[in-house]
Amino acid sequence: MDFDKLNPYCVTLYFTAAIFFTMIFMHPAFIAVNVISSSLACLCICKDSFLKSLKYKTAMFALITFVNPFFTSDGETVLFRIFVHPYTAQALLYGAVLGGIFFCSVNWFSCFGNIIGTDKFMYMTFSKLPTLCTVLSTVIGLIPFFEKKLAEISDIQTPLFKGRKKLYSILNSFNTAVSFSFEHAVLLSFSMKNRGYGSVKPTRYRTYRFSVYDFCLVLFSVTSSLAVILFGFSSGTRVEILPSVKLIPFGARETAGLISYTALLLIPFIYHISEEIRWNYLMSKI
Amino acid sequence: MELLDVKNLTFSYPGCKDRALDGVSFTVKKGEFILLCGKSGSGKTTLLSHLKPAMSPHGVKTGVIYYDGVDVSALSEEMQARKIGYVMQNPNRQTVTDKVWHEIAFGPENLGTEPGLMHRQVADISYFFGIDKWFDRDISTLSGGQKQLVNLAAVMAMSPDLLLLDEPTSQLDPIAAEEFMNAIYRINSELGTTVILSEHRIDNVYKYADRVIFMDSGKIVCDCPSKDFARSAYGETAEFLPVPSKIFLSCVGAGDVPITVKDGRSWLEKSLKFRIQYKTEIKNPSEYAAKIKNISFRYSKNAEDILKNCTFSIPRGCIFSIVGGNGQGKSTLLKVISGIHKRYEGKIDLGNHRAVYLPQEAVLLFSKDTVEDELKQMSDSQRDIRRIAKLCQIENLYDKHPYDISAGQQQCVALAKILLVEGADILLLDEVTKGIDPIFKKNFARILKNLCAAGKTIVLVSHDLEFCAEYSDYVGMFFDKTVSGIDSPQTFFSQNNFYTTSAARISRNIIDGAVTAKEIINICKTN
Repeated sequence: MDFDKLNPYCVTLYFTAAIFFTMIFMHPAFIAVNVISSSLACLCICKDSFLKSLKYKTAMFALITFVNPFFTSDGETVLFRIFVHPYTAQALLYGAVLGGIFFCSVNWFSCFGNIIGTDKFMYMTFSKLPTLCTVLSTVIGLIPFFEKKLAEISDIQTPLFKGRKKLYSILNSFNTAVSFSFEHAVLLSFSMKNRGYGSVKPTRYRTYRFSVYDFCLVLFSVTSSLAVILFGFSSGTRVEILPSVKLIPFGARETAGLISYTALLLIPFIYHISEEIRWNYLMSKI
Repeated sequence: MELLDVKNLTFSYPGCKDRALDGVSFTVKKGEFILLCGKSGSGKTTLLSHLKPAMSPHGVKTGVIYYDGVDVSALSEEMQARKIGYVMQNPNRQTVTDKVWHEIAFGPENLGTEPGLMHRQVADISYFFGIDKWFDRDISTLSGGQKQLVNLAAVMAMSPDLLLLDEPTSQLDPIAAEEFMNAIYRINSELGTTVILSEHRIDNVYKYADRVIFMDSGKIVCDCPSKDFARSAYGETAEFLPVPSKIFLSCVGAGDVPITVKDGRSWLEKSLKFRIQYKTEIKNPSEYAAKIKNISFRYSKNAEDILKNCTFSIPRGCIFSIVGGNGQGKSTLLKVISGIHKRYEGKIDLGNHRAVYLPQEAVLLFSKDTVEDELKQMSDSQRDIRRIAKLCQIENLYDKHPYDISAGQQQCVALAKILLVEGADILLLDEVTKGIDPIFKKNFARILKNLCAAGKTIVLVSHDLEFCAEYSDYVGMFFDKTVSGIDSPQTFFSQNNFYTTSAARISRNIIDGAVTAKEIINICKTN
């Protein structure tokens, strides 16, 4: 079963665990595992957008890595000085750790956003917070609309104001886009009212049953998360980078923690591979 | 009992002295197909919106509307949604969700329909409209015609007894408009849904209408069966007839008034004893305003070409129309010529002229609170502003907000704005006639002709084939990423089978070369 077809609650539980642990662990080994696992997950779930955005994410990683030492003067090994500010190797490494966490977080959020679209989000939240949910999903829909319209308006109006300052043209286009968006929002509200929005308690077209695949996902997620908590939070996985790098060699407990962490983060990849094998097997029968 | 009984409905918008609706009274029987027509600003949209209180604007209202014997304002919002459906003009501004399946299911979801029944309703309506093949698609990937069909299906999924449509085909190309009207007719004839439809594009819909309600200045001027309206219309009212009926009435024909192209051909064959050749000479251009050579364009590196080796020339001081299907790239072509988009290949030679683009949605040019401020934004010269305002007939709109005027008036204000751009000699107009009534179109055409006489060149992209046939000097077809088949309107439309005017269809093999109602009328009167 494709990750996309699983129960949204179970998928949300999984990604919550993955994103939570991504933010927690700063050990280079854990980050390296996360970079590989999150990239594999992206390739399985949102390959095109991952490949398109890879250069930007890599650029951000590099930016965070190399800019961090400008903000942190801690660190024993001074590589060079910019005026009086020391640029240290430890701060550079710390920047790399932060950049790695950023890279992995963006990957997991991309996967989550790709699977949990507007309709699944509304399915999960609508019955509990209907008004807030509808406002959020409408606003989320209006944002790309506004961006697209602003670009279109700017394209059309800019040639008409040649000879004037660029700021004038930008502000004018923005003003037009805001008026247009307000008008659009009013028409949208009419369209929603036209189809009975807010008249009675709504139901949902798409429903998601809890299948054996969802049970497996919950089981693996919970089991591996518990294992990570049990074995992963130890003195061996804690890392000090500033002012000097202190890494304790991994013992059995830390190794078990890393294995559990890897298992947790590889779940989407494992799901994808097993689904491919299953599908090829089914097709081979034809 | 009638399904709808409107008694003495009067309405004024806030702050307006004039009444948008003035003592409107009429009834509608179950299963009727009513065509609501009239000039822009006559009150059609206001009337339709009052028939469903959830859509009604704020203002001062008197009178009563009964739906199936019950005051419509006493109906709950749920009952209004179930019983009365409303389809608006713009296909892009009605969609609430991002997927086709969700758009259709949105209404039943809001009405608390049990999921099993909802699935059946959605499947049923999807099969009826043929939407099942693109059920999972993103709405943003659909054409205008498909989007409007989805909007219609989304409303019909709630199985309303009364369907209200406000100029639903104004944004659609002729083929999509015809398909949409067929779908409306099927809803009326096969499902028994009562339909009240407001439209300016009469030719596609008149044949389906049982009754015509004609409005002017907020009043109902005429309410009669469609055949009687076709027989008795005169003056401005006759402009709202389908082409066969217009020709018949102008020629003072005998017998039943033809409504369809088939009836029109039949009458014309009997009226003219022999085949006539109607020839007009194509003007040989002495000078060209623009020469487009081998231009190619795509939106991004990996995208498909929108324009490929597009080559043609635009004569100076003429109205040059480009027609073609929706989503083909006509608007993109205009944007490339004006410089908004950069071509990656080819050359555009505008000489000393400057090309300015008027978008499909005129409101994209408006950023001020009054029409006067919009014009002042473009020019400091009061003399120029007064001259252009007079030319575009917008002097009486100075203190109005651009969003509060009619679609036709918005087009005129937008036209005035681009005319005030210094050196604007080539005007690229994108679908300027959509949403405009036939009377206003004539005035607008006069403005365009005056501009050509003053030396401006107009390039017009339009789905309005009748307008192009009547007022253009040259017509070209946009197809397969380029413009081709450029010729006089007479040659262009008379040689097409499908992409042609109703008049050309009527006169084929009877009057060779006649493509407008005016031409057929002139020939009939002289033969």
